[in-house]
Amino acid sequence: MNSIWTFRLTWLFRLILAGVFIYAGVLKMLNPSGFAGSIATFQLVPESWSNVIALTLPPFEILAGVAILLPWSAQVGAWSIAGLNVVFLVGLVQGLIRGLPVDCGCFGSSGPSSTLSIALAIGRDVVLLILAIVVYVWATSGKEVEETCGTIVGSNPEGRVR
Amino acid sequence: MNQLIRNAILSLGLFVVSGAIGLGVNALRPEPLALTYEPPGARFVKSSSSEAWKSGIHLVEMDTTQELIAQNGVLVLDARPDLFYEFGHLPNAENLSRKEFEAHFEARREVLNEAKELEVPFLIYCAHEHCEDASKVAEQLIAKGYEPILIFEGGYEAWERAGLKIEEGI
Repeated sequence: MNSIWTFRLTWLFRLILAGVFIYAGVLKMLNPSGFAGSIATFQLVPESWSNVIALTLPPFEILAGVAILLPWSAQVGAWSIAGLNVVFLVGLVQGLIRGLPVDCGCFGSSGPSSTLSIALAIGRDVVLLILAIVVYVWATSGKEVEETCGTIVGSNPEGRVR
Repeated sequence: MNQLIRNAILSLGLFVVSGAIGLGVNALRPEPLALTYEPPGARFVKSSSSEAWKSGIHLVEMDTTQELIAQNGVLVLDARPDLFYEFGHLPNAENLSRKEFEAHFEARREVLNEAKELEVPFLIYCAHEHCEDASKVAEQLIAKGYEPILIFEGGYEAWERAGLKIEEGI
């Protein structure tokens, strides 16, 4: 693919992922007890751990969202977001298979969930995971981004940042 | 491969920093979350223990709930959103959802007042053991002077799982 388009698409994906994860993280930070309840419904970790996880995950989502926007940390951000999505997917799928009344809690505690809402959450997480992998694989290291920026500016290809 | 491992380590570092931030922010909250999780119903009853209305709020198990409903000895309140209430609720339950509390409260004021005058306890439940809706509705009812309150901790999920009678519709 044309490097300019790769650059633009990568930026679009980074903005989408950053927006979703920062928004989700802030909502969860505002109601940690509700999020802890959501975590407990998944029965994936001992119930008593739910509060510590509910206090840790939202800042991680926010930091990963910020990291993916910064050229020098975009790959770490993408890696973190991909990891989070894998964990979310495992939780949702096992909940669906085991017939648990999981409350996604993806954007704060949302109350009871239906099979449809869990299926939609799984679909959304798959899309976000794909975007994170694409961002990771495509030119997201600081050097490559800066090189591509130089190409876009284009007036002085020799003047690319090295 | 090296870069993949490097990014994994950095990501893990980010996670550890996040944990520190999360715990730090929590320590600064007016009411910090305890580090060990307790279901909302139990937490609510415990946190209310110093209040004057301590005696007016209790957690109830499945057996007691069944008995009270069979004897018609409680006003059953469903704190879930109305759509879920319509799909199925406990026998004779009224919908007093957390999300539309004020509107539902006004619509059911008469029934609530009648129960209050007769000193009939209010039995509240939500989706499952870990939902907060029942505690939040209980909090608002108590603020308005409605008690005693019983919270059925297992909620709709436990009732349905036990294969007990469920009513549908409004």
